Amino acid sequence: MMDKAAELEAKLAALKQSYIAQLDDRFESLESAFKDINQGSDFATSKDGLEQLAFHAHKLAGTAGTFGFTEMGEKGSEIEVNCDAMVNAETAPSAEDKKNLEELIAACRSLAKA
Amino acid sequence: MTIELKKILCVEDEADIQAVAKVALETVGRFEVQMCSSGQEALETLPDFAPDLILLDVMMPGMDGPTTYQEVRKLDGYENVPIIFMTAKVMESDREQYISLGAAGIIAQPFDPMVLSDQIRQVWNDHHDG
Repeated sequence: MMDKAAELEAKLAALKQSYIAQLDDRFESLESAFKDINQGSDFATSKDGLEQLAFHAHKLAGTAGTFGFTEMGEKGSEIEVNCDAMVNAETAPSAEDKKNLEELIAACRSLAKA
Repeated sequence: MTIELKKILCVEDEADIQAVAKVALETVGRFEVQMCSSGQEALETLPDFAPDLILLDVMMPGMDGPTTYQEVRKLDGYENVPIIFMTAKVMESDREQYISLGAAGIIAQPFDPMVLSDQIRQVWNDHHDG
């Protein structure tokens, strides 16, 4: 009879395959929210995008680490923290902020392929 | 003697986290687990399932974790059922906010599926011993 750890590992392996198969949808959600931010010209026009990006990044942060994508989860947390900070301060993202967010999202995609 | 923990209601909108939590709690903890995808669904499920403990995600669309917590507490028989928050946000200020609400404990996400059941049992024991 399989012990608990082996039984859990086998079940998690199946769930991980399913998770990997829909990671692309998660990245597209991040990119779509970033697109809205990138088109914004001030805080009012960036706020929805920032909140959406924080939401999807939070979900990525909560799930990626569970499936062993620790670094991806950390990048997700970083995106969330950055977006939350701008929303709380009611500050529009600077060009540097946007570049940073874009790079973090790209890094998440890269880490899925690693 | 501490009462045995048997039934857990897990409220989590993320299907992937739901699946992992269910597998972990059933396989490792041998608990009876009921999953809900929203705070509203949890409120509707509580009377029939009658859990010993509730595991509650903080950030959910619609009714979030803290709001769900407050609604659960208004139900007859659920004034004291232990509720554990699960969250990817573990800043000290957030932790203090959830504990001040009356949460029995906080579990950080991502959680380790192998130790999740032990973490919950620890909170359960502390809740009953405390």
